[in-house]
Amino acid sequence: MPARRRRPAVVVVAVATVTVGFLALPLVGLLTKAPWGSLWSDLSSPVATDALRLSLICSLWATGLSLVLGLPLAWVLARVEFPGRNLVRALTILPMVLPPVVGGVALLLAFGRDGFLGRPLFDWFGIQFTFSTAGVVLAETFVAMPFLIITVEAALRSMDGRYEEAASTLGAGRWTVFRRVTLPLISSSLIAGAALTWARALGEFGATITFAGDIQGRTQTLPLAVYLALEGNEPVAVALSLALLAVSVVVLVALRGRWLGAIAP
Amino acid sequence: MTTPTRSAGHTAAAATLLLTVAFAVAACGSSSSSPSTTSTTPAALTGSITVSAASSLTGAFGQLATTFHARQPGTTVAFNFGSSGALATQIQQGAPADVFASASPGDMATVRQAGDISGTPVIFARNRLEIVVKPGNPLGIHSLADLTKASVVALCVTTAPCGSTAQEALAKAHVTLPVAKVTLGQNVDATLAEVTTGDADAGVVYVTNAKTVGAQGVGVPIAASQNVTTSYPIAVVKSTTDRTLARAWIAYVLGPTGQSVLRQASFLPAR
Repeated sequence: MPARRRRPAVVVVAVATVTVGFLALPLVGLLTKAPWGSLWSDLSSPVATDALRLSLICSLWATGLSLVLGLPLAWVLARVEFPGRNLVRALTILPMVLPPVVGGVALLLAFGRDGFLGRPLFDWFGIQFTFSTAGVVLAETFVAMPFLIITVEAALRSMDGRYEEAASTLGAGRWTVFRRVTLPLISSSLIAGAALTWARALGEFGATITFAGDIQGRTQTLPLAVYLALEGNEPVAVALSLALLAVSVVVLVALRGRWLGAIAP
Repeated sequence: MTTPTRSAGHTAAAATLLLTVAFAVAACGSSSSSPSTTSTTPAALTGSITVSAASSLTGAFGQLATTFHARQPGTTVAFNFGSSGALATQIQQGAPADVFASASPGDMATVRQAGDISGTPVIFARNRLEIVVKPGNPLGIHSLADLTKASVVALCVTTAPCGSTAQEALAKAHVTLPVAKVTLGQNVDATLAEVTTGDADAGVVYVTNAKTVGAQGVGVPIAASQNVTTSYPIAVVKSTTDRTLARAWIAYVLGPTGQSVLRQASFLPAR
């Protein structure tokens, strides 16, 4: 039974109200300026449908890649003691704090046709990431994967290891333990991490436009289409912004309280 | 200065001093209202203005700002470079600008129709298009028709004058580039960067941009029959906070120094 709570200071409530206003008013602005009348036709224009389709495909691929590449790393960081672990952890968080456009420049210098990895890839295999949908996926994975890694790592660290011990004592192999015991125990954090990763990949702009360029139907994702449409086609820009806002709201509502609990280290 | 000790002498001296100062101020102040024909800038201006200028003017205007500042040390000219379409939108939405230098008469007309221009715009330069390709021209692009050889071509968005004129030139040359091969730059500088630092094989930019590539690219001229010329109008924005300085800047751009710098940057003369 919680003890009787003291009422918060008026100043605290006042400042909190201002903060809510600061966060909410731009969104209210978006909603009021929305072209509700022509919304459907704006969202069905070729630019919009190409952008929506591309964003969906690329963000899902990026989330998938983040799961496949990120889970093993999260496991190693959580369970294996090795020299330089803190450095590796800092490295995985780096794309999160790096300004996205800087990430794009870095990717360009590494994977561009003149990049130290890009040049052999192009010369020997004819693979070019820049100006391609694969490049979009690469850029989105680069910026979004850290969300998954730190979420899962935190969950693995905080889970009770005795269930896994019990399972292996009873004869379960490593893969079975992981599949039947570990995964279910971290499932809510895993889902939250994947959802955050997906949302981050969906919203990526700076790295995408720098590395993959702005080609309709191939690399022009939703945020790029909004940026392009701002000049001369504001209703479409606002309509697309609403679509992105709706997706973000859905993700947050679906995660509800788990969001905050999942990313707290 | 010898001052008489008597109070009457004090007053006389003070009056003479005041009159002298008044004459000097009047003489200095009157010269700013009518610029002489030989010097395009009046004496001792102060203040600061923001010039919203098309991206293609970055080099030339930057240079002019330095020489202008040397002549008028009390002034500050700040720039807001971008695509003319974007700048026009900004001005209509109330962005603080004192002078608008557009790369297309169309964008200037839009702003003028919205009532945001004071006075009549004057054309101060013209520009033409040029193709820029990677150093050594590995794909052998020699005309707009050859652009189909490129895997990715960088063009400006059509709301930027470099984009709309590029579309015009491509139409004149009967060249259609598939959408999947075209990457769009928000302004001509971004488009050029796609070729010089990015992986685009070719881009259509202005002659003035092609001149700046150095070792990072090669310019390929476009046939005169296919090329498109665009005119650059300049005008004072109605909401300017310093009309005198704004007019002085425009006069400077139109004057011999301004025109010489623009010519050196490969802009064509206004006529």
